[in-house]
Amino acid sequence: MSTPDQAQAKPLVQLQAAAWDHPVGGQGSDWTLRQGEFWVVGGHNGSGKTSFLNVVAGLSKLTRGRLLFFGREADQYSRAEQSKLRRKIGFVFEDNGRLFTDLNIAENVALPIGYHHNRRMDALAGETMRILTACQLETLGDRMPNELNRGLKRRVALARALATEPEILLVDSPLTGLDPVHIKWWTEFLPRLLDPATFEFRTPSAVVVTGEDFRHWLGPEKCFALLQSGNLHPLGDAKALEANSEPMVQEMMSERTSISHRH
Amino acid sequence: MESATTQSPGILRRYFDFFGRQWLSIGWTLRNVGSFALITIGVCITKFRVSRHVVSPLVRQQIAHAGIGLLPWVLFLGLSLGLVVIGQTVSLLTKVGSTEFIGTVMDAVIFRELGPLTAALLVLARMGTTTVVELGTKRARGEIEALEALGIDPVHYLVVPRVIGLALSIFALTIYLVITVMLSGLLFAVVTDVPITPAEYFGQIANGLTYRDFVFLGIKTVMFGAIIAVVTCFHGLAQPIELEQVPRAASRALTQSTAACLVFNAFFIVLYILLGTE
Repeated sequence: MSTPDQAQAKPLVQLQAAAWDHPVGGQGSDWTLRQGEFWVVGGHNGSGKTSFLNVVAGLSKLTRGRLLFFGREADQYSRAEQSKLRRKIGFVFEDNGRLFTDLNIAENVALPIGYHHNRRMDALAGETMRILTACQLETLGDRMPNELNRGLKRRVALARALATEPEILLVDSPLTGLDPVHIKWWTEFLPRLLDPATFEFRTPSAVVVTGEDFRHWLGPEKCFALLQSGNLHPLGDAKALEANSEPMVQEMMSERTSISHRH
Repeated sequence: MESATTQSPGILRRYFDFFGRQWLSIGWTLRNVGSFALITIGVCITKFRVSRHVVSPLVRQQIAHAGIGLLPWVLFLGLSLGLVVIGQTVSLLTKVGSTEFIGTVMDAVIFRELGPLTAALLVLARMGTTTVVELGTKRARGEIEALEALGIDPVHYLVVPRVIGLALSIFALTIYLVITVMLSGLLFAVVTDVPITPAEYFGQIANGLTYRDFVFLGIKTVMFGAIIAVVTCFHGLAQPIELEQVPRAASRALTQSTAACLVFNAFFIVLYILLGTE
């Protein structure tokens, strides 16, 4: 699953015998997210990908088991601490990214910075532009969300999530319904976030991505897991994934999946 | 006859069912809105100094929409009210030779009752639907979850500016309304040759007012603003909502805000009676 170095790394999120809200009801999953890890969690529609990410983001509660953030039980965080915890976990929502429709693109990115650092939004042009430039959105700052297509909206949602300089980045189905150009951008950009030297701002130290097709994410230093009936099954690295004979894993590695989810 | 005797218990039962459901529904609404109001008060107090550079512009935005935007309407209404209410009162009092009560009537009708309530209902008409639609749409689009995911408290970011903005707006609009009514009342008196000088007119008004009127006016207007903001925000924000449910939520919010303002106003009427009007 993890390299020896990663196994020594600090656990950021731990699930122990954890089950969350799902129609089938999970049996209880164990999973640990460590610093430096890039996880790809696959599953069909309705397998509970969004519910799983909501739990990992601390937005939903477990129905059973234990959830630990940075080595501490989730329930032990006070209300004020929960707000700080949320800033450490960036979340990119699926579809249109749930952008704030009354704010322009630059304001969408500036809002979390202004709110958490008590700074005027119009004085944050420098910080905002750095993040927008990294996401190749620098020319779109004045546009409103409804003027952008789905791929760009999702990218703005990513920029907004990066604005709080989170330690963990959770991205919900970023490739669903995107054209090959956008898919290439996401599959190249997200792994680069784990290399802090590449960016002018603090980037996350762990990334979790969900999706319906593993093939886009194949590559070294990535961990894969499968969500099935509300249970998370860690599968290992790309080599282990290719050797896996589980029919659902095979399906998620086949052309058929990518065609079906593109349409 | 036979069918009437078999039907009547059913009809009676249906009436009881209907009223029972209505009372239960009122009880649930009061409980939920009350809880939401307490949460809002808590956030107002605990986060008073948090993120002021982001929240203050939002308060100003609310004041611009609800206060400054409504100012021409308030002035127009003030002028009309002055001519109608004071005009009629003056002409009646002149007939019975009791013009010395013009100021007292002015205080009781405009300063204590009609002024604050009219300003509140005007703000509700302008901002009530807008608030529910705005927040309801945000909720339906998942923007509230996005705020939470960013560690931004939705009550602090969306409700608190509205509570402060509407409270200040209604307070200010009431003052403007009362001043306009006074001036238009005087205008009417001058135009219709009522035997009263401006000094007498303003003297009567000043004599009729006590410090209690000013305190109550302040509390009433601020509370009207808070009530309207909390009820409309509750309907837009505090419960899961689909896009198509937003118009119904808006209409519920308007009805409940109006009822809440009238009940609150009635409470002050009782308070005036208990304390004894001067």
